[in-house]
Amino acid sequence: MRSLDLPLDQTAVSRFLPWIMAGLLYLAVVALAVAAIADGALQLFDQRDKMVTVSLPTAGISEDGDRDVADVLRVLNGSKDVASADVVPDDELQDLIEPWLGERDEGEDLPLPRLIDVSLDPLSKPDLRALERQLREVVPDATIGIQEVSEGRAERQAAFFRTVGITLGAVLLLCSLAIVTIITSLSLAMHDDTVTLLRYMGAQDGYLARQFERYALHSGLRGGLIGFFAAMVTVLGVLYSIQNLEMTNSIRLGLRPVDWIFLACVPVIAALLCTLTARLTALWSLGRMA
Amino acid sequence: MLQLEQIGMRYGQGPEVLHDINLTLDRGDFIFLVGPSGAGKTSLMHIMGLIHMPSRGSFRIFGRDVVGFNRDDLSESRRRIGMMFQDFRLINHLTAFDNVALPLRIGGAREREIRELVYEMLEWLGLTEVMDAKPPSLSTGQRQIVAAARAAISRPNLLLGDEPTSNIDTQRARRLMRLFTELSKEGTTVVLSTHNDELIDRYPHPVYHLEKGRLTGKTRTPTQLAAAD
Repeated sequence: MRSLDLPLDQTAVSRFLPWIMAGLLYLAVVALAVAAIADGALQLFDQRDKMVTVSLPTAGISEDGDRDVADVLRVLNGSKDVASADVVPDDELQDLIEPWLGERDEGEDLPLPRLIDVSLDPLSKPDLRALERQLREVVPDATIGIQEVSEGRAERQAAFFRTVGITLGAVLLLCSLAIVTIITSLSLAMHDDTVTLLRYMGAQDGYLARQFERYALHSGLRGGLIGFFAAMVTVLGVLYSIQNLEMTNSIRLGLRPVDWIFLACVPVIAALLCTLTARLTALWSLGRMA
Repeated sequence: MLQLEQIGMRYGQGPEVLHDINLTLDRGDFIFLVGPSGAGKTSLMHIMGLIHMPSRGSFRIFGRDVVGFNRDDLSESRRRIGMMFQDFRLINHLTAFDNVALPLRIGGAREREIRELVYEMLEWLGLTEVMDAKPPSLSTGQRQIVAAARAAISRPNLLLGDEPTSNIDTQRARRLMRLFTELSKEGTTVVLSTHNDELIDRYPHPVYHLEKGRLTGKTRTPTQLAAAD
């Protein structure tokens, strides 16, 4: 970068701007990464809720088992929240229980429940308890397998982290803009003599504001990139640790491709916002100095 | 080009430092402004350089009355003036090259053009060896020449030099004067305030005397007077 007419990178008040930006952007990117991971987890929870299993424990031994299955299928297919319902085939059922009961001999007659895989409409918000009551009206021991209690709690935590992450990220970005505003105002006051000299030479406010704009862009990009890469190292390290320690057993936490793009945009957007802030602050302050 | 009528000036609520100044300069004029210290030379230069506004009187520059100037007019007119300050006012963190380039950058010239013009100017003034040095590491004379180069680099319509040769040797002073003379021939109006009698004597330009804030007379140099006799 060609030397600025104003020594913004040599004065105490502004020389640390890139490092301040790096620190703030580091925290902002970490916060937004947490929000993105939480958002990804919420989507997984959403997808998981869209698949449920209806089990009919006594249908396997009851004489009316096939009729019960047919009745349940009729109720399920009649529900607007259900996209499809398929009976789990016997051989698949055998495979499911094999890890617990071992390989069964031909003709061994162990009563098994009948299971129906149900895909729910992805756009609906089904009341699974109400659906279960409807099923019990036709088959009294029908149950819908919902991991509602534990996942409901994890889901609430994910939603909390998403909100906190976004809020914190936004607050940190606003802080960086506030710091740029303060540093620009202080720098203008500190370099009053040089500003006056440049004005004597015919420099317009736009020319002078560009000095601050260039410095803010340079500092913002430099600090932003340092902060971004440091944050990525942190986030990837934490994700790696979580996965290795198997701290989550139901949802695989991670960043989606769209999250990477979003997070990579953060330092660039922050630098552009800092540039705009510096320009507007300088123009406003110069207008008052005149 | 420049017309001062009944100009008076005071700083704040202080006493008037310039009284009833009348001065008209045309394109290409070259004058010396002389007078003892405290006579008001710098104040008059600052008025002509649009640094200070007169407290009274009429001041027209580049065909317009300064009273009607808005901020853009003021900036635009200042870009047409090259000002060489008595204390040089170089920017210490910039190199000699970048200090000289300032008026061109402010005027929006392209970097390639700036590089060529500044190098040419510094070469002509014998300063290429120190063009990457910063003002604190330059001698007083070198700083003065850099200040002169900065004032002249944009070939301004009006060039104002406040004691432009006070710290430099005769050879460099003559070189500077040659630069100012060439600019004047190309149409730049040049006003130099000086105490240097040798300079005044050597160059046949009108000399305006300023005493206690008043222009007391206009003479030619002793050489001219002798020639007239």
